[in-house]
Amino acid sequence: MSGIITTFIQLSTVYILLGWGMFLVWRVGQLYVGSIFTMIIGAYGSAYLVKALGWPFPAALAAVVLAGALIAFIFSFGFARVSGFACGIGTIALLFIAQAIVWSIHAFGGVHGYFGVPMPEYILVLALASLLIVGFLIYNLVHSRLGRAIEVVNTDINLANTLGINVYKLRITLQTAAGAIGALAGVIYSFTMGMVQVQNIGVGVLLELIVFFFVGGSSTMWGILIFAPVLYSFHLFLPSSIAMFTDLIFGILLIVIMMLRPEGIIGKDMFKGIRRKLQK
Amino acid sequence: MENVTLQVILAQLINGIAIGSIYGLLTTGLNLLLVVCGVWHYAYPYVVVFSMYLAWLVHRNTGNIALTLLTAFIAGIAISLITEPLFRPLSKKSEGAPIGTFILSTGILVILADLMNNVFIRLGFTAGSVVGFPQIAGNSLIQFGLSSLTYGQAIMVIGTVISVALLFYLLYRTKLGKSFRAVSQDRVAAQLLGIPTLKTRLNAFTVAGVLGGMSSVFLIIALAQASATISDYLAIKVFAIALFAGVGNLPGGLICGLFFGVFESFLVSFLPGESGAVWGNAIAFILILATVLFRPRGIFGSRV
Repeated sequence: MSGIITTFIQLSTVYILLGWGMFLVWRVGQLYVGSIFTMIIGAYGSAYLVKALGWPFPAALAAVVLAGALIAFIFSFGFARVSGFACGIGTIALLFIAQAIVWSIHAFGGVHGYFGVPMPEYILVLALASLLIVGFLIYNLVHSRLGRAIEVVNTDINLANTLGINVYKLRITLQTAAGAIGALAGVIYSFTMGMVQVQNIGVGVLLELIVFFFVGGSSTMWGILIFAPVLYSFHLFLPSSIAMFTDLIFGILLIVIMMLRPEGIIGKDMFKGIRRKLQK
Repeated sequence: MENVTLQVILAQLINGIAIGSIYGLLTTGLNLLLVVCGVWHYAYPYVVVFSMYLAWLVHRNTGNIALTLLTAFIAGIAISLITEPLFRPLSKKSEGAPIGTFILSTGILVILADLMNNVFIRLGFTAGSVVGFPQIAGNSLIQFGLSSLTYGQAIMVIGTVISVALLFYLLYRTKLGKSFRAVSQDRVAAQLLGIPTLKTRLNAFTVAGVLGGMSSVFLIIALAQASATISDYLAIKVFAIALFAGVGNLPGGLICGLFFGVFESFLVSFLPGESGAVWGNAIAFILILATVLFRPRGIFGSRV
């Protein structure tokens, strides 16, 4: 498989994983980009552990995913209590804080970034396996009793509280899971790119993720799965005369979608419609 | 030695108040849009910086400072009004502070950031993503030993005081202000009482545009440059100040903006070397993060 295709699949996987992390917490009423924060931890942590300390890759992967989950868990005690919007601003602030921390750590290359990260071929296998495993887990979660509780919270948080659903605990659980997924995405990112620069991960990834997630569809897990690769491919496969205006196209797409169909292109009504047609 | 330290403190205080006045204006504009129109306009600081770019283009072609500043001011209002119709469908759908308007404004900021970072360079309007202005009103007005209050800083502070005084006069002494307050309390009831909500929205965006335009002018005076990176930091700081003060709290946002400017100025000057600028921003975010986590309704209480 050509290098460009492999890189495309791996980086699309990164966005899909980040989108699923965002999806989990969005369904309980919060805008959460903490998975990008843990992506930074995963990317730098795994790269440093493997390259500088000589850790075997599986051990580094496990360590950073656990670290991402733990850090997300710690912050979730505060973020789970606040409004959806405050959570969004708080987690965006985390990205800038992470940037400052990374820039001041010389071992991570400071402002210049951390280079020389190995790019083994098995990263493609890891990316696809992550997609399958995380996708499977989220699908089962959505169709489980917990998933129905999440649905109630999304519909009416007061109703959820009345029914005895502990929204606070639910948010903590989902934010922790999103943190772990973000760290995993960070590992795939750093070993795909062969380097890590926090300024490329922070705000740039955030804006693209928001576009992919809300254009694709924020009410199901399928929106980001389909539209992250579709929209990301604009950078790589469009003619260069159009590709240079990709961000402009993304911005316009996001505005149009939010004005006309805020739930995104792939919404729950689409599945209901398909099911009805199949039943006929 | 003590004298020098006092002078440094005074210099940072003056600088902090000047920058804080910009934060205060932007936070006030943001809160106004939220309270009256239910719009979380994350792209509002980007509109301000983009106005600076347009002003730079005028300066490049004319060299006229007055025209440059006037362009920044008018562009701030015009772009603000241009973005208003985009939020209308979402504002009708939700109560309170809809996250949807925040997401939509992200689309606007992606466009503006790309115009500044990419399109303008490709079209040959700018040579890079950072544009520079000549130093405006940089002469000393009052000298305090080693430190001084420049004309520019005085203009910024006095301009902010006058703007805010006029804004509060508008809000509490005029019919327009009454309509703002009525719509912010209950849009449907205001409509039933015959208050034209669309006109009120447009007026709110105009007033926010005026505040944004003034911020544009002050930023040109204070920084003498513009870049999309400035808008990245400005956006998160202004939103964080709004949360810190209490969402929708107009006087609170203004006070916290001033406090934040002074705090940041002291932090940057007393932290050593390059880390001053880096940690100056980060510690500010940490402070705001702590507020979001431990006092989500803000210091002065939320009005939404």
